[in-house]
Parts: sequence; C-alpha cells; structure tokens
Amino acid sequence: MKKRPIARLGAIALAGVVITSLAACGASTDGTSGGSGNAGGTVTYLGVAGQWEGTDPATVYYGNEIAAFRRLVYRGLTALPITDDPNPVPVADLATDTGTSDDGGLTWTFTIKDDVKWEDGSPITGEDFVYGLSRSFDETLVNGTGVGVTYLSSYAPSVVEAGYTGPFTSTDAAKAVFDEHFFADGQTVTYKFDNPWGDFPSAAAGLFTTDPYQASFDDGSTLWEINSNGPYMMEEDEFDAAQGATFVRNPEYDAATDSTDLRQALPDQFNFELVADSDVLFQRLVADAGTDKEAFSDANIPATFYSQVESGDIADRTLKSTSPYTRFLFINSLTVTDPDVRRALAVALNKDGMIQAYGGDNYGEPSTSIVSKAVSGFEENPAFADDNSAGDPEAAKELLGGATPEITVAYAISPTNEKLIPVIQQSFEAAGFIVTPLGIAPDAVPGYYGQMAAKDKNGQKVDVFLGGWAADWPAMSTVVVPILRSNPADAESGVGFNYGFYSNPEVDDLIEQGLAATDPAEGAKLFAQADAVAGADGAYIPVVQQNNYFLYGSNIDGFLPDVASSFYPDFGSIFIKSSK
Amino acid sequence: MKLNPPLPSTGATASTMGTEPRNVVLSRSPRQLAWARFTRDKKTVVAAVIVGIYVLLAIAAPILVALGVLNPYDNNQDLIANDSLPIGAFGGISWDHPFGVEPGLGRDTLSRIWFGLTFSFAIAIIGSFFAMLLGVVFGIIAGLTGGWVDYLIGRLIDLTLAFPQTLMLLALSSTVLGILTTVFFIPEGDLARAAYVILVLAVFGWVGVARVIRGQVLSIREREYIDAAKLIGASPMRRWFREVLPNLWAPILVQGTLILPAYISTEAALAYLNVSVQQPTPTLGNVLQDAVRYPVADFTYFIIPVLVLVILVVAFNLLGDGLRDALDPKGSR
Repeated sequence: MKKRPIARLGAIALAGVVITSLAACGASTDGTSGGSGNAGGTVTYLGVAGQWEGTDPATVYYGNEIAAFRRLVYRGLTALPITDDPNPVPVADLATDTGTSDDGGLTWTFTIKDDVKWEDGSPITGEDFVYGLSRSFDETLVNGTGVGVTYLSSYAPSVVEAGYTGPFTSTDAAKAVFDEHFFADGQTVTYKFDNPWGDFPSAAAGLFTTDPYQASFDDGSTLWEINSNGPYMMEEDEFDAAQGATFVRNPEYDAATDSTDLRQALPDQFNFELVADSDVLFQRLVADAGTDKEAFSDANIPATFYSQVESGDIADRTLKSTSPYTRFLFINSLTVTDPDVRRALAVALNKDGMIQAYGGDNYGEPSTSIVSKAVSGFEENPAFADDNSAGDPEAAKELLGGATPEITVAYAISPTNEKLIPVIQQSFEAAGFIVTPLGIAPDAVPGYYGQMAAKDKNGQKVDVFLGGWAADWPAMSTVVVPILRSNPADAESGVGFNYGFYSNPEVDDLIEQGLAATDPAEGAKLFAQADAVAGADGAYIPVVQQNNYFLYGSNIDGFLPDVASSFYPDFGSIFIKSSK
Repeated sequence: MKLNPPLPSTGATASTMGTEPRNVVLSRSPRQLAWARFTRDKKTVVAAVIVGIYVLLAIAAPILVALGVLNPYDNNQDLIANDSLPIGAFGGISWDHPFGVEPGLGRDTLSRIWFGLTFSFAIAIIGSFFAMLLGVVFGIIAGLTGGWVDYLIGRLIDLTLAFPQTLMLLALSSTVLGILTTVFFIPEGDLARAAYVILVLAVFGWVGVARVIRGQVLSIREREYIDAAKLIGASPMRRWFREVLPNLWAPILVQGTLILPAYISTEAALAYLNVSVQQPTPTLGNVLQDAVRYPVADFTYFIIPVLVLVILVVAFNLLGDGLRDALDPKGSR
C-alpha cells in the first residue's frame, strides 16, 4: 500500500482529566474473555516489509508502529488503556499519575515511578525523560518523520525559535532556553510551555516524543535499535526492516509497576515477521497452517481476497470496523483558484465508482468529510452532504458555465490507483473538464508525497491529487489542523498535510479558536465549522470512509482494534487460545 | 543391367532414365525446397496459421477501436457487484463481453487484451528489429574481419551477457526515462516508456543474434566465391553486404521468429515490474499484471490473458523451429 501520513498533531479528547485509578474499566474487550486470557506461547505478527522507517522512538510515527511498541517495549509517561470505549482516558504508565498542572496547562509536573528499569537493569530517571524529549528536536534523528518539532513548536515556540536542534548540535544559548522549559529533579519532570497545553497527558500517551531515552544508549546508530523498558525486549541487536525481529520477555520488567489495563503481556514471545508481498501474507493467514494459526496482521484484506474470507470458518477470523482513515482528493488551491471550478470538481466526482474500484462495500463507503466517523465530534460536512455520490455532471457543467478547464490529476502508480484514475477521469470529463493523468512511479525521487508537498509540485502542473489521512487520535483537530490550516507564506513545501496549499483566513480563525477552546466538545464544534467553511469553498473532495478489515489465525484471541492502537490490533490484549 | 527402381523425387536417378515425361528433371530452387519441407510439417503450418491470425488481430485492433467495436477504455461499473468483482458466473461473461469484464472498473476484457496485443506486438517487433539489425551488423563484421575486431566484439558480447539485466532495468528505468524525455525529446508517458522497453530489448537482445550470425559468416567466408570477389578487388563493404548477407536470410528469419515471442513475454514481465507502458493503455503485460492478482477471486479474468499469451508464444516458437528445419535442415542447432 501507499505511504499514508498519519496525524500525530494535536489535541486529544477529554483534556486534562486527571485519573489516578482506573481499575474498574479494564479490558472489557468484545470477543475476548474479559482480560483473563491464557498466558504463554508465541504470537506471530505478519507485516509488509519496507513500510517501517525506524524503531528509534524519535522516528516512530505510523499508527501501527505505535500500536506495537507502546505495548511491547516503549512505556511512556501515560498510555491509553485497552478498551473498546471510543473515548478512553489516559492512565499513568511510567509516571505515578497522569500529571499535575496548577496553571491551566502551562506547566506540567510528573513524578516517575521508583522501581521502573531499562532492559540493562538501570533505573529510569527524570533525566531520561528530558533527554528523550530533547532528541525529538533533532532533525537527523527523527529522520523525516518530524512530528515532535511540529507538535512542540505550537506549544513551546520559543525553544524552536531559539534554534534548538537536539542534544548534539544545539548552541549553548539554545540549550539554555530548552533547559528553562524542560527539566528534571530526581524523579520529578517539569514541562513549561509557552501556550497552555490542556490535554498534554493524552498527547504523551499517543506520541513517542515525550518518551524517556537512556543517554548512555545513544551512540549515534540507534535508528533500528530498541532499548526496552516494557514487558518484552528485542532479541536481535537491530530490527530488520526487511525481515522483522523477535521479542522475548524482558527480565528487568516488573509487572507490579504496570497495569493490566495497559499491558496484559500474555504471550511469551512475539515474532515480527515481515513479508515482501501482502498477497503472500494473506495466503498464509487464509491457509491457517502451523504457526500461522497463532499469527495476525494489521494490514487490510485486499479486494482480491474477499471471495476467500467471506464464507465459512474463515469469516469467523475476520473483523471489520470503521477506520480512522479517509481518502480524498486534494485540490491545488494555487492552480485551481476559482471556488466554482473546485466545487464543480467535487460535484462531478463519481465516488461510488471509485469505491467499486477500491474494492467495494468491504473497502469503505462514500464520505462527506476529511474527518473519519471514528473521530469523536464527527459531523457530516454540510457542503458535501447533499452531493450525489455517483457524481452529477450536469450540476457540475452548470457551475462551470460552459468552461472546459484543463485539469491534471496526479497519483502514485499502483495497481489500485490505476483502477481509480479511469473513474476519476471519466467523471471529470463528463462534466466538461479536460483531464490529464500524471502517474508518479513508485521509485521516483522524491516520492509521491514528497513531490505533492512541494509548492511547485516538483515543477509539474498538478491540479488534483490523491491523498489519505488518518486521525490517529479521535479528535477533530488531528485532521482539520494539518490539512486546512494555512501554510506559512514563505513555505516551499506544505506544513502538516496541507499539500493543496489551501488558505482561508476564516478557516484559520476558527482553527485558532478551536485550539484555544478548553472544552473539547466546543473545540470539536469549531473544527467542524472550519471544515464546513473549507468544504463550501472547495478545499478538497471527500471520497471514501475506509473500513478496517482484518484477518487473524484460528488460535488468536483478544484481537481488538481500539483507540489506543489507532484502530490497529492492540498488542496489549492479544493472546493464544488455551484450548488447542 | 538391372536398374534400381526409379525414385521420382531424386533428379539424378530420373535423368539417367530420361525416357518418361513425368520423370523430367525438376530443378527446384532452394526456396521451393524449403517451402516443400515447410508444408510437409503439419504442426508448423498450424502454428503459422495461428501466428497469422494473431498478426491480423493486432493489425485490426486499432481500426476496430476507432470504429467503436472495441472499447478498451470505457468503464461499465453497472456490471460490477458490491464486492468489486463482476456480476455473474465466469467473470461476467456475456454476449457483449465474451471474455468477461475487469473487476473494479468493468472494462471489457476482450477489448483490452485485443488492443493490448497491438501494443505488445508493436513493441516486440520494433525491439526485435533493432536487436536483429545490431546483431546482424556486429555478427557479419566479427565473422568476416576476424582478428582483434572479432575479439573485441566477442568480449563485448560476454560483457553484455554478464550484466544482471532485470536488476539494471529496474534500477535504470527512471534515469534512462529522464534522458529519453530531456535529451531525445520523446514526450513523457507511454511513448517514452515504450521507447525504453524497445531500447532495453535491443541493447540486451542483439548478442544472441550476433553469435549465431558470426558462426554462419565464419562458414560462408571460406567459400570460393568470396575469395573470388576478394581477388577481383571487391571492397569489404560489398563483400559483407552484397556477397555474404544474402546467404544469411535464413538464419535471420529463424532468429527473428524466435526472439519475437521471447520479447512479447519479456514485455509482459517488464510490465509486471512497472517498467513498461502504463495503464490505462493496455498491453498484454499490464493486462496480465492486473489479472494475476485475481487467481482465486476471478479465475476467468486471471486465466484468459494467460492463455492468450501462452498460445501466442508457443505458436511463434513452433513456427520458428519449423522455419529453421525448413530453411536450414542441416544447420547447427
């Protein structure tokens, strides 16, 4: 599948609620036996090779990587519990509580538990947390997945403006500014922000930016290394991006410092097996032979496998749910400046046909917003609510008033996209557009999203291009802010995911109000308004609300895609059935 | 004296008789002899007919597309069920769509394969033309000149064969495509991609041809008439291309018939690796590339392009073998 950037930016539901005990709402997972699963055995995780970009916490960025590592190896200040509740509340993890703030979110203080240890047996200190945070500012370490800086620059802009670039390359002056904001005293860590960050505890649960890091482990070659503080540790020295790795029990991990709400850690071992071809992966899961009975995957079942998995025993091993992903078409606001033309494109598009090309009902349903239904506060965007999902060329022609604009549609060349483009092309052409498809080869440098992020689209004329986005967090801000907030005037490449270079002061204003809102429900309303204004202005064209459609082996139990794992299967609850 | 029973087909025996009219000397040209051998070989004739049909189909396709009989680009999503597979048994086969329709989009499979045949043929024919041209020229030069030129060409052939072709193809595709579009002004897109495939086929394909031709030339150059031409002062150019080349038509024809199907399947393999002409323009390769994703979900859609390609390649290979037997019965294999 294509690379799908995932929102890591932004606020989280139920801001700043400090919860110290959550014993009652444990792992009430559907399909599992209430959190008292069978311990032992080896679970195999089947993934697609080449999608991982690093195992250093500074680089971990994709939802499925976070889903795996938060439960297995990287504990944070806080974490979200294993639960099917759509609005979970963060739980203290390495800290004794979920943080205290006396000044409305400007200053946060955490106390780290005394008896938590790294895999070499040395204790985790407050200094480790400050050091971990400092690494998130280093562009080299974050390796192009720089969510940390984007995120922190909203709340601690003075550190970024002082030119702080991590522990290795910063000037002494910049280090001094960093030290004023973030410091530790024994087991106490203090975070001082320039702007109030009401839901920082929730952000700490979902981002690895605030995770601790052992300074003595940081030898400059950490991209594929894992220094565990969780229930498992990597057996190999380095994670193999083409093959995977083995995770065994970490002897230094003390379950007494942890909660079974966060990690049940039932299997003795996790084998990460990466295969080159997702077809092979699903052939193995369908065959359900040998150790593949104890295997699962976080990849979606491809359309070519639907006929095999929809009947009989196999159907019992599938799980379908609403995904936080939506797919949509970006409109390049720099080249398509007329809002009527942008609206005409939206009205003309045959979403039903595109979904058939994607894989039909199993793949998803027509969407009416860039925001997923899985996001709390989701509202149908009124601008698109009444559009005919099969496309309305006549209405589009009316909007165009006889004009026949030339439109270039860019896409990443892939078997799926090559089936989408004819549908897009024919529905636009029916409305009178003159359409040129522009395929970007898989081996192009820069890659598809790299080219689309650039303001000049790498020197190509691009008017409409395919994109997708997931709210990694069930909050409107994680979608609306990165896609619709104006890029800085001098930006040569889109900030966040605003690759369409959409800019509307009214939308920006609503976004600022939403970010400043203290009540999450009120914030969600403001973001929905911003989305509505942008939709009416033709900022983008919503296409499909995706489904998750997972397949797992017959001996797997505790299979639960939940909020904590960005709706990927939760590694914390999975176990092997006892009755083999 | 007791005569051996006359053997009608052998001229020598017949001429000794010299009496009955039906035993008149039938002087037959090498071409007639070849034709006789060719028509006697039933499987080659069948293969030739199949190849002929394929060629006619490939020529007819663009006309039928222009006339609107074939619709390789039109979506028929009303024929697609909610699971993105065609409605009905056997991949949605019907009178309107005798080979069924493509999953997802509902494009007519017959039209796509038929029109794809044209593109695949065009690429393979142009590619093999250049490969033959290079191979024949280098083969003649190497065979006739001998010495250090022969040595040099021999090593060049070894070098080319030593290249990891497929790997180079993938690695170089974007770079060479860039050169083709910026330096040679070939418009970006399908034309440039087709040009790249043709270039690759020619650059890596000529070596086999060159080796065969060189071997033939080595035997021809020892013949007396070449010495005679040399004695009366014919220029090397004349000796190479007027005296030697006409005697090479048989191996050239055979080689051409054998590399063409190989190139059609190479194009298919390249399309699978995303190097060749891109969708929506159909080629046998990219139709196949999509079809192989559906071996279980839509077997009809999977097997039809496979069969079309297999029959084509087998027919061409049989024809090539038959031609070799007919034109060069004593030839070295």
